[in-house]
Amino acid sequence: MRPEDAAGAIGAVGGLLAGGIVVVLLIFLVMAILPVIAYWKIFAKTGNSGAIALLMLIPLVNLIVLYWMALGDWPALRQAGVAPGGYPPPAPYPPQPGYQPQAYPPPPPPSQFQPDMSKFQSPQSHFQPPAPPPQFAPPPAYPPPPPRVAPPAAAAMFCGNCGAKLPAGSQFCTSCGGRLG
Amino acid sequence: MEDAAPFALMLMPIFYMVILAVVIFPHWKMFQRAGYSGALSLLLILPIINIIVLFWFGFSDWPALRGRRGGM
Repeated sequence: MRPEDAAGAIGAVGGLLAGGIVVVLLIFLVMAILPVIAYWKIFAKTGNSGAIALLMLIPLVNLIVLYWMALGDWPALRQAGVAPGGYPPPAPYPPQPGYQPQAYPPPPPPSQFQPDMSKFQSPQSHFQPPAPPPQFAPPPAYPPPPPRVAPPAAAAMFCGNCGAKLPAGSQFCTSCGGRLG
Repeated sequence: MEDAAPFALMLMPIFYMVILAVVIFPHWKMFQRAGYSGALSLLLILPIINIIVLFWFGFSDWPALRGRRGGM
């Protein structure tokens, strides 16, 4: 083997090695950064700083951060009105004889802020009592309807073609269409 | 001295289980506090699924945050 051939081979192997290292580094980078993005989102959702997720890159610190996040305070839960310990477990069904429902932790003490409510009283002059309900009067007594009288016989006529009964003064039969009269 | 390597190999699964439990527990707790089933954290054992579950968890609407005062 000539010296220049050996140098070329060494260069090729070196290039391959460097390329492989770059690829592996890239994969590691992606595999490290993707969880950090997810944890950033999760930690931010608990109401803590999302930047805490950057600590997940450090080998043993990440465990400590995980436990701290899992067991620590979640301000977002307090804001949503959920007790600090989360929901109590649901009652067993069917009801068990020895079951004692787990009580919620006591609510936080009310804030010291006491607004002067007299400033917010609405003026009474604007208040109008609701109108009394309308009194229902009995319906007026209608005169009894006149007794039905049979229409006079002259008011009806019959078709000369088919014999159908027609109102008086009809020009055509409504039954057979024949001209009348 | 010859027994050392097989002994270590035998311990490997136990170490693995311990580390798994140590990692799964806080996730279980987080899933529960978010209002999901803690058993979802078991999916984090699976290689590619874990990233998907983490992202889904990060971007989903947590039931616990829907809260009783509404909003959020």
